[in-house]
Amino acid sequence: MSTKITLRFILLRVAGIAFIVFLLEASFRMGVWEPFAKPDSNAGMSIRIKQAVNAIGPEKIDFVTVGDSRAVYGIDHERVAALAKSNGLNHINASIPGMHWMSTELMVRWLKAHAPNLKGAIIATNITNFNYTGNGYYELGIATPLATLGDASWMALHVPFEQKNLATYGSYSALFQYRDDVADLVKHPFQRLGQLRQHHQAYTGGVALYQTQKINSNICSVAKLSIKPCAAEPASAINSTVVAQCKSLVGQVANQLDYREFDNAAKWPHLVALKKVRQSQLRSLGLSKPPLVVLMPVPRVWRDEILPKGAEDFALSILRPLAAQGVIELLDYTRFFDAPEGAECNAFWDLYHQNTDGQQKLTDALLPIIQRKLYAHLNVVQH
Amino acid sequence: MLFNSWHFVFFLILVLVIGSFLRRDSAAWKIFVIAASCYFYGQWSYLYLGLIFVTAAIDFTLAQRLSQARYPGRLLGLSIVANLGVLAFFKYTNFLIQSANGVAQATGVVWAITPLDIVLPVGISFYTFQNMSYTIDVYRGQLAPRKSILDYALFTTFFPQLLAGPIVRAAEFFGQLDHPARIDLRKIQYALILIAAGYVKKIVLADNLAISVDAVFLAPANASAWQALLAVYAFAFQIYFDFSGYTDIAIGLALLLGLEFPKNFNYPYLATSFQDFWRRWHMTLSRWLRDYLYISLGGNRHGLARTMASLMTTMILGGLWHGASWNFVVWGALHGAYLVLERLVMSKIHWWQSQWLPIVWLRWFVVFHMICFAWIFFRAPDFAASLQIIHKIAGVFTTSFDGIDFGALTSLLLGLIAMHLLMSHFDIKQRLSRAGIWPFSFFVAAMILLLIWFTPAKTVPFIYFQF
Repeated sequence: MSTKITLRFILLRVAGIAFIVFLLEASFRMGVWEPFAKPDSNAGMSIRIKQAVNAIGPEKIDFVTVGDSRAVYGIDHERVAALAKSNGLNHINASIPGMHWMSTELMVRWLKAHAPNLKGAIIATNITNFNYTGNGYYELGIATPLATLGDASWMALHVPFEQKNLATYGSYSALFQYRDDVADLVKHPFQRLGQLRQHHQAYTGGVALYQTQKINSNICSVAKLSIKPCAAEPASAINSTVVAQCKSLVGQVANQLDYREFDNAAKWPHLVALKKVRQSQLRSLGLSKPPLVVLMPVPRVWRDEILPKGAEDFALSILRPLAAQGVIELLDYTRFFDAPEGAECNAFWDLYHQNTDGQQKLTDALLPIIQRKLYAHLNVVQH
Repeated sequence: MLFNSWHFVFFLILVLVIGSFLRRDSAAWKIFVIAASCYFYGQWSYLYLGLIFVTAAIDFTLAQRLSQARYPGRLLGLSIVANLGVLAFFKYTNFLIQSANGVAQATGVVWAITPLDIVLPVGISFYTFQNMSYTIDVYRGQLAPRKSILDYALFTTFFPQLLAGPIVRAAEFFGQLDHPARIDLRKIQYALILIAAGYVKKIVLADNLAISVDAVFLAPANASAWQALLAVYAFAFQIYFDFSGYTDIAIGLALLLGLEFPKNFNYPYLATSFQDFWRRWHMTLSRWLRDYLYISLGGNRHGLARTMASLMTTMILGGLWHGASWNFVVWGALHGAYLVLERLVMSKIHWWQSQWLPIVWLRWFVVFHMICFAWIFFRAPDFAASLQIIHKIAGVFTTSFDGIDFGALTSLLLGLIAMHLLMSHFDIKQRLSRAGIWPFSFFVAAMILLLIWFTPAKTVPFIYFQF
């Protein structure tokens, strides 16, 4: 048999295999797996928001809040939604724990594509989110259900491809992105069934878009809010979460970087590049109203001991020029709980997230501004 | 270069494409495949590639002279000494030193030899046995010495089976070089099916099982009784999927290059006797041990006692062939004892051989569990760990289920046994090799999906590469 026939035989089969794999990839991209995805996984949380948006009708959405877990816990989304409603507007919360700049962009793009009346957004971020390009490959999970084929390069920019790390293949393939989800389903099929049923009962009709997370505990039981002494404290039922967080951060304290010369391209080329990427991203959001960029409160210990020195100034150096040009509205609440003494420990339930008290205080401060900057002067028809 | 690496995938595509164009010129094709094999092995060590050529040159030269030699036995002896000498030096020197040191310490002698800094050449146990089979076959007159050194170099270095077999006999290999099989499209399809299934066996099944197995065998003290028991079952399947997966890939690769290799596994865990097991497990090694060791030791021609002794010796040496440690000796000795015991039982208790289904199942149950018991010594890092695992397992009679993923792992193991049973009844791979483009494409696409979804984060080298 000739080489030509053999090659044709092999090529036909390779084409057959490729066709089936691409068909599956396309169907995963189109959301065939979404009804089965684990509701509390990274992908599951994005899917939950997509489903909720579709349930209420995307055309009814006027404003959105996007952000990570600090935004999830730090803002009373029910009060924001109520204020919007009193203005005849619909403001949803699409914050997801772990959401960073890559998934923020994709969430806004997805909403713009599906919600024709979307006018503006609150981007609830914080100074720690400006130091790194991405938030690790697990953010791909949040991003994939929102992404299209054209987003691959945006995703790869934030989660660089590593040949030996299959999780990073998720930038290019939805089949790879759902690896853990599929494996988990195979390992615990009945558990998944229960989770899906429970989720379906709890989140019908878009409830997830207006919910507020409330945690009442605080971190005042930790004697000193400084990483090393905190890590050395004996863990008790009250402070165990914070002590564990302190222990995990000890290494970072020892290796604290110095970003004070963040504009020096020779010394910090990645910071200079990052600044350009973030500014360009915020410039190109394309919302009819400038987004409200809220810098969420960050406990002092982060600024003093963990984050690179100058990290706060670096974040502001990105945002202030945009605010001056009217591209964004900047609300800096980074130091919101610094004073008076004792305010800080009473406002957080761990080293990252505000408790109900902190959430209410911040929301009190935010609501009038939201009203003034986003909702006022909008000639809207009551939905 | 690992079979389960992108480097190898690119290498293979290149070899197949260039090889297909050189196919008509036999010499050029052979030189090309030898060069590719050298590159393949050289990625691990070019120095030890030299060792392969030195041993091959010795065997090739001695075999040439065997037929005219006045004392051919001496030349054969020289070949065996050369091969076993190289194997012994690299594989057993430190084992002997450490054993001697242990004996000295136990007897209170103040004496210790520092172990040598020796790196074990990958695949040495396999290519040494393959070379020896060639000279022994020539000595026995079963094979004419090969005239072409190119053919012999190809036989020794052929990359699909260089690292971990199957142990191909020279006659099987040269016969196909002399009479190349027609390129058969079904064979190509079969080869691709074998390769795809082999990767799934290795990466999806074996490497995932390895996670649970390693957790227990590396820290037996932390495992519960049920976890220890399940880890032993899991290892039984891990090693099967690891090695048979490798073999499937090797056979598939050889087939794509136009050579048919013998089968190495035939659903070993369906065996209902130990003899049956060794006819199904690592068949090419079993065949080698039978033809060149067991029969040479007298086989079953000199009465029961001699047969038992031959069996025990063969199995102990077979165990030692796997690795230089007392654990492998115990593993081999256990299998030797099983075979001896089986012969005794079969000669005294006739109902044990009954084909009545409940008896067949009972035999299967006993055989499977005794094989699993022997695997403990094969997998455990040392003798103390083996005993610790056995001690742990003894606790299953007094403790309740407590493993976290007990249900998942149990279902998996039952699924594996069921799959074993089904696959043996419906030879799916053979059927698919005759199927049209779509069934074939669906099968391979399914294998690719399994690889995408279930490849664990950590790459595990093939277990038999260490032998």
